[in-house]
Amino acid sequence: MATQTKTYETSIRLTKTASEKMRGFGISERLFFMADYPFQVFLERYPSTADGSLSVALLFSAEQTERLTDKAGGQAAVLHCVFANHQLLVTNVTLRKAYQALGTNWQREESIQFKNSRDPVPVAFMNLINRLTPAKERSDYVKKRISSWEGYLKIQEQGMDIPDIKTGYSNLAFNHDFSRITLTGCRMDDKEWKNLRNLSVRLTGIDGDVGTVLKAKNRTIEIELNPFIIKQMREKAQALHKREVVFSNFAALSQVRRLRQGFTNLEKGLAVNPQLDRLLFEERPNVAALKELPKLTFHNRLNEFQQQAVTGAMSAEDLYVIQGPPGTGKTTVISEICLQNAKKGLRTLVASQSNLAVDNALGRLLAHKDIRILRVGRTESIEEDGQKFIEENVGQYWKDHTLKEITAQYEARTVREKEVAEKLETTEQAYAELQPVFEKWQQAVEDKKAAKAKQQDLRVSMETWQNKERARELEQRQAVNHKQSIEGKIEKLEAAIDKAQDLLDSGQGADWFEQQRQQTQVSIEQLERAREAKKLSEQLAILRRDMELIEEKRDEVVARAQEKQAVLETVEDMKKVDSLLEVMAQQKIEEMPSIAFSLSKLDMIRDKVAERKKLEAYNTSVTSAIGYVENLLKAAGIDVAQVKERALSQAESFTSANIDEFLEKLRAMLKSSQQIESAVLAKALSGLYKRQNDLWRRGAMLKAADVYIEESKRAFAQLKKALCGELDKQRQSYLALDERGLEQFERKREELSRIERQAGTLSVSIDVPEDVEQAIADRQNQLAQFENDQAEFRQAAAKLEQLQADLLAEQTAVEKAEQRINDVIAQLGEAKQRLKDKQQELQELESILSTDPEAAYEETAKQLASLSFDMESLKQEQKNFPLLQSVQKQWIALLESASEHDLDEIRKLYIKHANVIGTTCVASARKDFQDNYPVFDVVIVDEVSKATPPELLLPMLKGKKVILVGDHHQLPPLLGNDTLEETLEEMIKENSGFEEKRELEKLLEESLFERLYKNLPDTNKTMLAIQYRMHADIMETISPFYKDENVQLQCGLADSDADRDHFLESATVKRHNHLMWLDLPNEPAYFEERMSGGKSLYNPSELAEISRLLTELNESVAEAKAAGRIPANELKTVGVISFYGEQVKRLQRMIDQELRLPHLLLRTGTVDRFQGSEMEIILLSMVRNNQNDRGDIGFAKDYRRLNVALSRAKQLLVMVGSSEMFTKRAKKQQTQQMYQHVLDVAEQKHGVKVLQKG
Amino acid sequence: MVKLVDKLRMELASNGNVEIVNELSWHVPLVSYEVSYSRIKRFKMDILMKMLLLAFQEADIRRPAALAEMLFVEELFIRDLIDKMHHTQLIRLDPKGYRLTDKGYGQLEKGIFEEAIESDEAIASFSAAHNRYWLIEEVQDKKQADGPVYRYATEPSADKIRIQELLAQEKDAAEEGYQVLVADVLTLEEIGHDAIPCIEFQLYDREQDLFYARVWNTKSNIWDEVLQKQIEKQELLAWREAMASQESPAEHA
Repeated sequence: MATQTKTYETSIRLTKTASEKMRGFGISERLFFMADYPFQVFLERYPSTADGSLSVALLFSAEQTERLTDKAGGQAAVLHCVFANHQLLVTNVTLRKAYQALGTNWQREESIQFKNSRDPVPVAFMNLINRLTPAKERSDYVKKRISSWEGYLKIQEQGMDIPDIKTGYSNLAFNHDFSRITLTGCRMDDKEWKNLRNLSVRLTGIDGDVGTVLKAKNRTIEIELNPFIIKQMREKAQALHKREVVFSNFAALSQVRRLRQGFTNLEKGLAVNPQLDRLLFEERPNVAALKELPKLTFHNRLNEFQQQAVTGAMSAEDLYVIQGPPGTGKTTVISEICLQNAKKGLRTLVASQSNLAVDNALGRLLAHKDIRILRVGRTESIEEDGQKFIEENVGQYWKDHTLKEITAQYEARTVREKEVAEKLETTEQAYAELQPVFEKWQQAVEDKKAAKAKQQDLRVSMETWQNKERARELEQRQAVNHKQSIEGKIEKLEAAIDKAQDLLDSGQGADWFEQQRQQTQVSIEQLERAREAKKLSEQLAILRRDMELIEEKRDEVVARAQEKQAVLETVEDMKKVDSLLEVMAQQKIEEMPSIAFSLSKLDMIRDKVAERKKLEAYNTSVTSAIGYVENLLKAAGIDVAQVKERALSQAESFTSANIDEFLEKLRAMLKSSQQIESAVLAKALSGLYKRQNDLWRRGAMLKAADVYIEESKRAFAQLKKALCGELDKQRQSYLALDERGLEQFERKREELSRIERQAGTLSVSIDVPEDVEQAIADRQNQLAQFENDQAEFRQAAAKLEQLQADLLAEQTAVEKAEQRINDVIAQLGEAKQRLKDKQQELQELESILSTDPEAAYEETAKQLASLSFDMESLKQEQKNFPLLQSVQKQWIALLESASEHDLDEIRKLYIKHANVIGTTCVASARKDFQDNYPVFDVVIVDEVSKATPPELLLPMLKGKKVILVGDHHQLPPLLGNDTLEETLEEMIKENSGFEEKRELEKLLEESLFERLYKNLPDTNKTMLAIQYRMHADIMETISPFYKDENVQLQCGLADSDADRDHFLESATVKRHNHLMWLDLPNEPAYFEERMSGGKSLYNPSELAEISRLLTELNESVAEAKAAGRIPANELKTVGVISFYGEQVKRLQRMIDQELRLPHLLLRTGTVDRFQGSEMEIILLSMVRNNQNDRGDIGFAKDYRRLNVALSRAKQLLVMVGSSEMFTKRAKKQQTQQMYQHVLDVAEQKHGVKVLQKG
Repeated sequence: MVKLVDKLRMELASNGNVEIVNELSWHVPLVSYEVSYSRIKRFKMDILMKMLLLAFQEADIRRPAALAEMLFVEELFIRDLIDKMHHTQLIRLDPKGYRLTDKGYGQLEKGIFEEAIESDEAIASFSAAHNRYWLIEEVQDKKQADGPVYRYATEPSADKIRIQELLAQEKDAAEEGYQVLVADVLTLEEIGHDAIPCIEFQLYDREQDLFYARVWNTKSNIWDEVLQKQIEKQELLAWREAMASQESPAEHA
């Protein structure tokens, strides 16, 4: 609930009805408005009214109602209001039962002060209500979603509306082991007989329900007794005063009622977690983000997955799901979560579908003083593990546990006391021994410090000497360099002297140089002339080529002029316009205006002539038609002239096409009929006249034919003349071009002769080289060199003298440098000697400095401190001993002598502070439980997959946080003795008229746990993937069932062979066998059989085989005991299980009646009943074996059932059945593969034994 | 006795499928002991409260957590009780720790005080076959019982602790805030022998192919489960074999 932060103040008005109702309930309006402090009111929004206005209910708790009236009798007053005209108007007032009506998740609690005024309602208050979701919307959402779970309840409600049946009986007989009774001599009608099955039974004189009806047949009733009633029955049943029995459905009905109440509570918004409905029904549950937690300290040893699960469950805010395959330590995880919760002061509910599962979970919780476990439920149905936690026993449990712990502490301390004394002594001794060592190290550290100081001094003085050494070395290097540079100079001087001398001695005098220079100059001149001649001859060649081109051009121009002349001559003789046009095209003559004029004139004349011809043709046709029609009309005696006159009275014009059409029509008309009315003919004639007239009119506009011929001739002559003029103009231009070409030619010829002359003057007397330019350059360089050498020769004598003087000076300098070097070397030697001495001293110090006394010194100091600390704490402990021992001794004595009464107060405290409450899902909805424990911080539901969603809902309603633990790869919920599907199958077979078969089948497909597990984000789920139960070989058979999960199932046993050794060695079972399949032939001798008149199956040959195997196992245990492999007093636990109830019954009978197996602890049961249990050895009788075409293997086809069957054994699993039946005959491929995998693994582990026939 | 056997036979025969294969009668030996025991009278007092008073008397304790650790008791419990004792003025808090008030001392004294009251005697009967003890009113000594002794009878001697448990269960009493408790068994003396006559039926349910036994205990007047189980465990297989060997020649004939 949100904390109250503010009080709303609002005006409120009452309708007349409301006022009257209020008075009726004894509520005074005065009190209502005059109250001096605000009311705590629950607001519940109604759906908006038809006109869309806000509607809300104000609910007053019983206490608040009491402020207004004493008439309500603990009921809650409800004001029904609407907002109208900005005012809050109460339209009605009612009283409501307060229980569960207030504080639902769909309501909001606020503090409100009411004013009797017409002021508008404050906006903040309006907004508050506006923000609420109408309660109905939320409940409708839940109602809609939860309806999909109705089927579960319907199944359980089947045939439940039976009133109690009370009847006498004549005889009551026990069966052989007092587990059942048979009643005979009951008097009931047939209908009652039919309904008896599964009803609970009470006997007058016996306290409590005796049991449930198993069978009612042949007027006898077989009743399965409740285990807790057997003792009472044995003592009393034969001596009851009144032989009267009552069959009733009450227990079952009240269970369904509670489940239904769960639905209602969710609808009403009574879940502790307001988001529960969304978490359950949304496709992807929108869980809250995880809390950040500091790293947890675990109290159990947990593997990584378990740690992840616990951390996740602790960090989750609303929902966490743990998938726990067989043997993966679910209970350890639950235990750890409970303890973590307890440490944080949180209260946890541990719920499960069955009492046994609750007790198992509680029984395995860690005994820890912070956990106070309380088992709530009907005492008689609580199993041994849970008994110590029921209210009346918790005092004893607490005492036992405390006594055990305190005694252990006390005894440990007695030992400890001596230990402490001894330890103190040794510690003191050690301290004393360590003291001198410490002092020695202390001295060593001092020595080292002194050495270090000396080292420092030495280093400083060494540094000055090193500096000196470096300075001398530098000086030495410089002197040597100086000497070397002088020597270099001397060398160069000597070379120059040699060179000068050589030059002077070479014998090439001044004349020689002059001669060489002139020769070279001549050769250069010759070469330059040759270069000029070559240039001129190139110019000549170009000129000659130009001249040739001009000649060619002139020839071409003359030819064109001649061509034009020839065309002119042909044109003179031409007679046709087309020929002229062709010439124009060929000679590319443009259409000059004079030409164009003549051409268009010719065209026009041709058109006129053509029109004239056409008109003449039409005239002929029309005229002959007129003649013909006139004759016809004349014959008919009609005056043609009159017609003509009328026709010509108005001039009209006609197109040629019109005339053609008219004539055509007339012709067709005349041809088609013999007799034509004269009126029609007259009309035709009139048309003809009109057209003739038009033709004549048009003809009159044209000239005579010869005129046109004359005009045409004239135009043609003009055209020809114009054309000839154009052609002649072209010829003239070509002739002018030729003239210009001749002039150019002449100019070139003149230039040619000039250059020829110039070239004739240049003659060369030497051989001209290929590259003249290069040769000239070479000669010029040569010339320059000669001039240079000549100058040097002239200076050489003077230079030689100077060089020799320089050389002498440098030689003196070398001697001086050598002297300096020797001095420096002497100084350097001294410095080095000094340094060597110092180094020696340093090395001597090194032996002291290289030791590391500090570490040892510190270590010893630390040891000393630690010893001193130990001594102190031991002394302290010693000091505390007497008090602790004395207090605890008294405490032990008190606890030991405590009677029930003495523990009373403790029991009350325990119950008050109980923080882990265990109960079944359905019991968590009992009224008394609801009153005592309305809310839990955390609800853990174990074995979730075995509970139906309606069952799960009950504990989930109570938790702020819900943790679900289960495994959807194991079996789904059981209803009574059967699984849901078996119940369904039966219902369908019994044809009980159940309509929603499809709906029910849907229930089978979806598991709430599976859906949540698959759809939750990774942060809110974990699969515990390490199993510790099964030998790895056995685990391999079930691994495929988990292959689609995020992680693969792993075996947590360090060494399966050692940890799961069964120590047995027999003809069938070898020590290394952990997984076996005793394979029976798929033949009639080994087939399943059906109970006569029953539905369950059994298999006699498997019974025989198991009998043999059990005997063999018993003997091999005896042998193992004799050999010392198994302790003598130990029993091997063996579970003999089967898919079929009838087979189990027969197995049990066989074990009871025909076998004596003192070394085995045997349990039998159906696979379904064995879920949650484990045994060292499991024998699985598979029963199905037939050759039916359907290949039906019944319940064995469900992989979840197979998973459970395979995962019960710790050391050895033996399957007994026909492998052919299951791997080859089974109807579905998938089923075959599932069993084939098991067979393959068994084969691989050398565990398949084929039974020989016969 | 004959009438009883007839009645039992009738009851068993009411199931038509059951036949009585064999019928035996024998007796189970009983030993009677005279037991004398000491008793004390003690004030009913919550032991944790008593312990807290003792501890406060002995040491300076301020922090409930320290006591919780010392006594290995939930701190919550200790806080609850301290509050209660504070409230009822049995203790007060001074700077060094909790101290008993005069009232507290008075209460503690009352709580500690055990008054020895005069010892008492009782007669216990022991069946070794059942490993069970009862208190009986008067000594019975019938050495000569009818019929043979139960064939699986054993003869272990009585266990003093078990007898004390029995006495505590039967003789502890409460009165006006006080309780009278059995403190110790002082003497244990065998004073006589008795026997429970039993009638044994060996049965066969033909329909279900079941052998089983029923043993009527004439002392408790019920079918005795303990003896039945002992017999079945030992003999069931033998009965089946016997029947098989009886029936197979009959089949040949």
